[in-house]
Amino acid sequence: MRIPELLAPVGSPDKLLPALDYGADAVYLSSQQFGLRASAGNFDIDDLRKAAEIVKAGNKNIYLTLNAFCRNKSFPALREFLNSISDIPIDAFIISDPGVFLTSREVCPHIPVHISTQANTINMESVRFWENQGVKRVILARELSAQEVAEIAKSSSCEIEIFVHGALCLAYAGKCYLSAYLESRESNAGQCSQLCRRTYQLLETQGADRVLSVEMDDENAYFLNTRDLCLIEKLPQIAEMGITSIKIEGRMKSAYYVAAVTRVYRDALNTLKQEGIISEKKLRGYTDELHKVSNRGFTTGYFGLDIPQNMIKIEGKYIQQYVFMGIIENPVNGTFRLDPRNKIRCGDRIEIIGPNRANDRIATVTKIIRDNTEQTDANPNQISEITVDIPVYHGEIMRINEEDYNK
Amino acid sequence: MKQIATHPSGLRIVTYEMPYMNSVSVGIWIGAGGRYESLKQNGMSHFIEHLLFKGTEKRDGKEISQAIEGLGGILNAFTGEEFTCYYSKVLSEYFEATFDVLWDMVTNNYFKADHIDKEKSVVKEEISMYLDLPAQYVHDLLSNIMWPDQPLGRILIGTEGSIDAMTNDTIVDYKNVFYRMNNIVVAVAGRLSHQEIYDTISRYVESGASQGKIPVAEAVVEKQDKPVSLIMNKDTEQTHFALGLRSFHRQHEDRYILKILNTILGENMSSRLFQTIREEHGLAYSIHSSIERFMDTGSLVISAGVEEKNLIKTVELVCKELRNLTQELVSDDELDRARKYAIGQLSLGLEKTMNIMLWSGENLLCTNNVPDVNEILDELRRVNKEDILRISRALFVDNNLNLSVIGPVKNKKTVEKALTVG
Repeated sequence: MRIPELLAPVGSPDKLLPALDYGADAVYLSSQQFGLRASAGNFDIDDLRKAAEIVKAGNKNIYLTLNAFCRNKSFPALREFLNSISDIPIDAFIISDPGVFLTSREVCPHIPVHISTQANTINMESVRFWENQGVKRVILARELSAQEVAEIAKSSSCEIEIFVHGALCLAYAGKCYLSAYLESRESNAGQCSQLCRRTYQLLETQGADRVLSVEMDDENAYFLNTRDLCLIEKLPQIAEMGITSIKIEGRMKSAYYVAAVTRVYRDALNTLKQEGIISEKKLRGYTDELHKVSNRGFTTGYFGLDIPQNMIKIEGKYIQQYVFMGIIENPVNGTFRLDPRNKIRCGDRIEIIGPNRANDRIATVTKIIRDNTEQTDANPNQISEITVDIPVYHGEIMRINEEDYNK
Repeated sequence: MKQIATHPSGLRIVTYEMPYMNSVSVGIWIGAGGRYESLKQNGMSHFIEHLLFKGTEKRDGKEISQAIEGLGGILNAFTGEEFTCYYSKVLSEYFEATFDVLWDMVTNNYFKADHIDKEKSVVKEEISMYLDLPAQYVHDLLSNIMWPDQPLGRILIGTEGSIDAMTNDTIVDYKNVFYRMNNIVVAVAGRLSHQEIYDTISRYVESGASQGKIPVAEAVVEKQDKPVSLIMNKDTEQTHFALGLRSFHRQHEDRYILKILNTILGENMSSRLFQTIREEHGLAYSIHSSIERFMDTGSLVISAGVEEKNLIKTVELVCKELRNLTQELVSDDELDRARKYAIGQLSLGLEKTMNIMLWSGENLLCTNNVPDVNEILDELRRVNKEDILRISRALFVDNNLNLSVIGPVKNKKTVEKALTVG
C-alpha cells in the first residue's frame, strides 16, 4: 500500500494557504497564460515566486499548469514566459501539448514534466511513450476503469496521478468542441463556457420539428450536466494500486471549497495510513462532509464503472447544505475582521471549521460592528468586525447550515 | 423536560421540570473564569466569587447564608476556567426566596473596603493551603506546563501579588464587564415548571436589553515538540505526580470516545491503571484519570501519589498502559463494561436535580446549546474498539506528554527519561 500525495487546486493566491493548511501535500496552479483556466484569478510571475517560496518552506510540492494547446503564434510568448520563471523552484510543469513539452525541455530542462490529463493518456503504451520522452509523471485520463488504472500503474515506471474529486467533463475530457463551436470559446485554450451546465429542451427533428417536453416538477432539465467525481470510497483500492498522486479538481472553486474538500481527503488518507482501512462509519462521515460543500451530486464515474444514467444529474445544478460565510483573520478573543461572502446576522449559529474535521464547532455571532457602529447584520463585501462567543483561530472558516441561513 | 428561553434582558434560562422531586437546584452561571483574566487580573473571577458572599446593600454575609440555610437549603459557589457558578438546592416552595438571595448577590456592586481586605487574607490563606495540598497543587503546576504563558495555564486562584494588587475599582471594572445579563445563564432543575420559574425570575430581572460585547476567552496556543516535565522539590511524605495530555474541546466529534477511553484507562477500580498500579504492583493508594473540556481544547490527566523511590517505575508503568492502548484493540468485554459504566454513571447522575442543573447550565453558558441526553447515550453506545485505538494513537504521543511532580525528587533526569510512550 502506498499513501498517495494529495494534490489540491489553487486558482488564485488567496487559495494557497487554505489548500496547504487544510492538508494538501502539493498544489497546482496556473500562470496568467497557458493554463487552461482563463478566468480563474491565476498567478502573475511575482505571485508565482511568492507561492513557490511558501510551498517549499512547508516542504510541499508546487506544480505549474501549462496545459493549453497552443497555436504557432503563442510560442514566442511561451519561451519568454519560461525564461522568466526558470529560476523559480517549481517541482513540475503540467503539460499536454507536445510542442509545449519540447519548448519546456529546451528552456527549463531542470524542471520535470507531468503529462496533463488533457493529453488523454488511456493506455500503458502511451505511458511508455511518455516515459521514453523523459516525463516524470503521467496524469491519466478520467475515462478509465479501476482495472485499467491498476494495470497501467503496475506496468509503468513513471509516476501515475489520477483525479479523485471534482467536476467531470461531459465529453472525453479535453476533446469537447461545444464551447468553441457555439460560442467561439475554445475549451482547449482555457475558455470553456460550460455549456453542459445549462438547461436544454429536447427537440425532435426527424419528421416534424417538435419540442418533446420533459416533466421535471417545475425544474428544467440539465441533460448534459454530469455529476461530480468522488472517489473517497475508492481510496483503499487506489492506495493498493501504488498511485503516486491523487488530484482534486477545481481551480475555479472558492477557497472554502478547496479547504473543505482537501481536509476530508487528508483525513481519509491519514486514517488509511494509521489504520490500514477506512471504516464504514468514517466513510459515512467523509461523504456527509463532502455533501455539505457545493456539488452536483456524486458519481464514481468511469473508475467505478458507474452506469451512464448515474453520471448525469438531470434535475438541477448545485447542491449545497452549507453557506460559506468567510475566513477568520487574526482573531483576538473571539473578535475578528470578516469579509462576508454571504449575509451574516447577529445571533446566527455558525459552524467553525478548521483543518481537523473532528474539531468543528458551533459558535454564536454576538456582535457585528461596521463604521464604528453596532449592526444587526453584514451583507457580502461589507467588511465588518465580528465577535463570536468562543475562541477561534486564524484561517478557520465560517459557514452556516442552509436552513438556518434561509430562516 | 428541558426548555430554554432568552429573557428580554439577554439572560438565558434553562429549566428541567422533574415534577416527582421535592427539590429545585438553581445555579446562576457567569461567563467569567480564569482563562478570561489578563496577567494582572489573575485570580479576579475567583476573588469576586468570594466577595459576593460578604454582603450586599440589603444583607450582610451572615444574613445571606442564614437566608438559605435557614430554609433547609444549601448555598455555595465555584469558579472554573470558563465560568463562575453560584448555586443552591432547596425545597421547591423556597425557590423564589432563594433566587432573591442569589440574584441579590450576583447583581451587587457594593463592596466594603474592609470586606475586600479581609477576603484578600482569606484567599491568600487559600493559596497557602493549596501549597500544602500537593495532590491538588500538582494539577496547577501541570496546567502551567500544558498551556505555558497564557491564561488557561495560570493558577486559577491567583498569586499573592495579583491578589494584593486588587482594588475596589479593578474589581468593579472586571465585574461590570462580565456580570452582564447577556453573559449570564440561570439553570434550574426540579419540581417547578418552566413557566413558574420564568415568571419568578422575571420579577427580579430588569427587562432592558443588556448592552456591550460578551467577553470571549483568548484562544489557546499549543506548541510542544517533546515530553515536558516540571518538578517541584519538596519534602513531602508522598511524591505526587500528574501526567497530562491535551485532548478534546467541548464540541469535539470524538469527545464521547475519549469518555470511554478514559473509563477504560483510569476512571474506576476496574480500570487498567487502578488494576496495574494499585492491585498488581501495590505502588499507590489510588490512581485516577480524568478529562476536562474547554471551549477550544481539553485535557486528560492521570494522577497519583507514590513513594519517591517508586516514581520512575510508576511513570513507566503509566506510559506503558498508554502505549498498550495505541498498539492493541481493547477487548469486547472491556469495551462493553466501559460503555455501560459511562452510560450508567451519566444516567444515575441525572437522577439528581443538582447534577442536571450543573450539566445544563455549563453547556448553555459555554456552547449556547444543551444537548439531548438520549443523543449522548446513543453516542456512547456507538463507540467501538477501532475508535478507541484511533484516538489513543492521536493523543498518546510523546509531544503531548506533560508531567508535573511534587515531592523529594532526587534525580530529575531519570524522571524525564521515563516519560515516553515511544
